[in-house]
Amino acid sequence: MYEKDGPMTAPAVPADDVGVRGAEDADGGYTAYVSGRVTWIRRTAYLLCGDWTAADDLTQQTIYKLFVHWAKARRAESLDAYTRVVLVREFLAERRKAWWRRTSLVAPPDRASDSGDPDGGLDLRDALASLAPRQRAVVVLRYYCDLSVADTATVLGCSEGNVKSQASRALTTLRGHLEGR
Amino acid sequence: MNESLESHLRDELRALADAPLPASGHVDIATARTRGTRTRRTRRARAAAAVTAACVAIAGVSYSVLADGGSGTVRRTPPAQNATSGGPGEVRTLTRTASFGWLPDGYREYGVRAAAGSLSLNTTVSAAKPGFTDPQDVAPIQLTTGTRPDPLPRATGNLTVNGKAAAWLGHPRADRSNAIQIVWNYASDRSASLRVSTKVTRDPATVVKIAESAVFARATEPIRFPVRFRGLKEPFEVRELYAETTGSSTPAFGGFLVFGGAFAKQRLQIDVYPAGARRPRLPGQGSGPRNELTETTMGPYKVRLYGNPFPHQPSKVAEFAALLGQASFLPQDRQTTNPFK
Repeated sequence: MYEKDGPMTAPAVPADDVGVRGAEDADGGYTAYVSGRVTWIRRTAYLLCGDWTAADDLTQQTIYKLFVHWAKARRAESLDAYTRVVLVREFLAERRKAWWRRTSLVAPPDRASDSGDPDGGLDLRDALASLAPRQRAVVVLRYYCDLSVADTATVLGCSEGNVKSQASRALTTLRGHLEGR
Repeated sequence: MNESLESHLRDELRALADAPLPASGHVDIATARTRGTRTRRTRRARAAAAVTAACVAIAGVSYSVLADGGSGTVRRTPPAQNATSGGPGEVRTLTRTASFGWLPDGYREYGVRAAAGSLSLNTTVSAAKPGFTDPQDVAPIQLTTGTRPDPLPRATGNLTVNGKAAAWLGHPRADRSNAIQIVWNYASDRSASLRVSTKVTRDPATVVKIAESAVFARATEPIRFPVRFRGLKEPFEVRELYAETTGSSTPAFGGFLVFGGAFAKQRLQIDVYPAGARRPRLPGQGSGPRNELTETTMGPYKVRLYGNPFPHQPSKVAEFAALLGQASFLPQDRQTTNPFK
């Protein structure tokens, strides 16, 4: 039922998986690329959304949009960076809807079994859920994807100062949650 | 202090994301390609149509100018036909998939809402005390059913709902939680989630009692709407539909529409509610490009259109505002199951 764990951020993909074969694909390497990156996209989407159902929806939307704009994506300097922009902006667009607060139908798998702190993952998930979508995106981009402030600002389409202030507010909120547990 | 928190956060995020990945059967590359191909085709066709229309318009103006001896009269072209598109992430009708068998004192069913994701369709039946006025807001009791089974957390313990394994989401014991939520798969291909505000109860047993009394149905009569809007001329998908189901012969209802495919920038929310009723402000209202578009009274209703966002597209605003002028009020026996198509 569960796949083997994937890498943390966009991994180097074996040549026989994407690069070589993909270039000659009828869809310009789209299928090969997405097949190789879908685990990474899902994991990042999960951190943004907080549950696997929403993460899968976001992933599906992202790979759909990637296909629509595949010609442009292939010309991008970094395909992973382009995909990350699509993912984050689609997440924010979805959350911008007036009634985006939907009831979650699914919880993520409990990781308590491999941790000395059985509630640690759940506490972090709760703490992340308390953040505004944009703050959450900043946290994921800065501390999971390890992007610089400038790169984060590029992904979000805002100023570096805005990223810093969002990150500062997010850390304050997270500190309150995590220290209060 | 911050460095320590940041380092801790990095570790925790990685651990959280590195949790065993649920099966990815819900993410389908072939589906994305099929939808993407259709979108590309539609966009190409629209672009070609725009070029053709421009050519025809130029030719028509030239002809009119010549025929009128240079007076410059321009002929009006007939309005475009309604065009709608079906898609996997669309709500076609609003159907009650579940109902409450038991509710705490004072609570009653309030409304039904269906929301389509790219892969799933969730329907929520909500309950509230009389006086709750906003069907798009988070009602204190929400029972949501999904069109696909979902993996439950592994540590479900002995919690069951009518014999089916169930699990709590979040921490029902935690003081900071503002709701208690329980999830279970009530059928092999259906999942359910019950969310109860802690303002209703903090007692998990009461939540389980509400869950166990829920009645599920796959095929019920679609909810019918007393107004139909037919002014939309662009391809669009109805992503959400909601209806207030209690308390009034002219119930509130509304929807959320996405134009030109899933990723177009044009999004429109429509709220229709009794003219005498009050509604809270919408998120973002009054600031930036996400301002409320317009609000008007139509017969017994007040209609609120909310664009999100419409930057630099005044023609879109005008086009959607025209929607208001093309509403049909339907008699009881001819009410529609989808007010926007």
